[in-house]
Amino acid sequence: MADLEKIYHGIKSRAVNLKAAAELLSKYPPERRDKMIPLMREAAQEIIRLLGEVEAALKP
Amino acid sequence: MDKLKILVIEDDSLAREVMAGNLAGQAVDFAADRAAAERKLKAGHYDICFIDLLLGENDDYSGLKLIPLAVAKGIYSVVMSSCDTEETISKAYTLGCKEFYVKGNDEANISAIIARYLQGDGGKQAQTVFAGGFITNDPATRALVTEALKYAPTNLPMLILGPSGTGKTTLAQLLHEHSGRKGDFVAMNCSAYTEELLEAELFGYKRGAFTGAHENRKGKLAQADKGTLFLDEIGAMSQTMQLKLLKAIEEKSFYPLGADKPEYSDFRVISATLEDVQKLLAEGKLRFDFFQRIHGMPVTLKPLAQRKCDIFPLIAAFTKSGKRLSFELGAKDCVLAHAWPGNTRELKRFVELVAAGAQGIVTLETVQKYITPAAAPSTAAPEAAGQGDYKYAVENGLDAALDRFIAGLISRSLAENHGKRAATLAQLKISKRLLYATLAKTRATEGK
Repeated sequence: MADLEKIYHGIKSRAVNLKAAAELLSKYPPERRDKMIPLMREAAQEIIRLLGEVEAALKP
Repeated sequence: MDKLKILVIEDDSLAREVMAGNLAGQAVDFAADRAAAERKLKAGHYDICFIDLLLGENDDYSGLKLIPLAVAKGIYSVVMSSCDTEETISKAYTLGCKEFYVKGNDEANISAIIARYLQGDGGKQAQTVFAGGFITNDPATRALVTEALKYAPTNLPMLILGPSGTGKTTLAQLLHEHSGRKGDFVAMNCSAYTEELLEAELFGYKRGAFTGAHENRKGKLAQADKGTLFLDEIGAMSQTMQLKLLKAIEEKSFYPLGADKPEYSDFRVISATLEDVQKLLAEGKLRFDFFQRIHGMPVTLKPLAQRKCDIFPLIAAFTKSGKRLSFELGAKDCVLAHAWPGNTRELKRFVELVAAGAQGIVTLETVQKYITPAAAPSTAAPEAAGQGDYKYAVENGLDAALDRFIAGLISRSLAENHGKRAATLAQLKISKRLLYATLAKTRATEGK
């Protein structure tokens, strides 16, 4: 798989995880929510980082 | 319901947390990389395994490489990945994964996967099935039974083939238990009846239909309503009977003997035979249209000699509720070296004999005492006749001596096959005509 494709895959994967986590969040007890939110934040930051890589890769 | 043992192979910590949420209520274990996954797959017994394909930053689809390992362990393997190119999907299925999902609708998909697994669409609580319903450790037989179980909830007919004592009836019963059909499992050995009796047994009869029919009687077809009709030794059924049964199977209705109105029954047919079906067709003993109607999915069971890994688990199962046995090393070797031509039936008889003895420890001598030497076809030069046979031939002529010899062989084969004539026909490779003529002669001699 080409590098760019891997990056797209990473974004897609983290985005769907983020969506699934958001759906579960309301059902979770507070202590589990506290564990989940930092992980979601990490995923969001990773998406931002990967988007930066996409921009860099697409620059002529 | 017992908790399912599930392994989730996923490198992303948030994804693992999501899976833990969606799999709440099950016994879930996680592996974050390929090495941990391999270790856990090798060591643990899981029912279902969810596999992500890319495990780590610079990973090259190592999830794909885990599929064969999970499949080899009999685990229902499901890929859940964001990588869904046609090539990857095709590769995953080729490697043996049962289902492939793109991440994103996990909650609904996971519920469906678990429901399908529990309904038997693939996994069907393999450990329970193979530890009790159909005891086997043989990978090929396990795969065969698992495949057959996929068809259990359908109405498709099935044909179970295999030598006597390989578990055809047990498998048929297992298929019925997993069919979801609320009716009974009704088994019938076609070789145990004359044609007239078979018709009465299958279709039932009305009072006064024939001499001795003092009351209405439900036939097997009616008894199997909403259930399963298991027809063993179909090769012994006459062509006329096959035609009548074919009509009943197709129309789900039939006329009991002496009835002027049809009766209806929603039965599913599972058939079995120990004979060579192609030979039966070629010889015209099995109607082609009848065969087409009943054969559905064919399942061929291997003889015990080809799955020796099942011998001791079967022995353990036979003695489960009684005296347990411990085999000495030499005794074990002897048991494993035996060909078991009578398959599980012979093994069961052997275990009963051994268990009935005083000793719990089974020695080589005990095994040799109770084991029936496998009858291998002899190609050696003929042996000189025994004194008794020779004297009989001299006094009564060779033809009479031959008749006596044939009658002796048939009598022994019938005894070993519990009176099943079809089994004797197949075992001795003789015609029905010879069998019945010999039996008639024997009866006439005994009557004198």
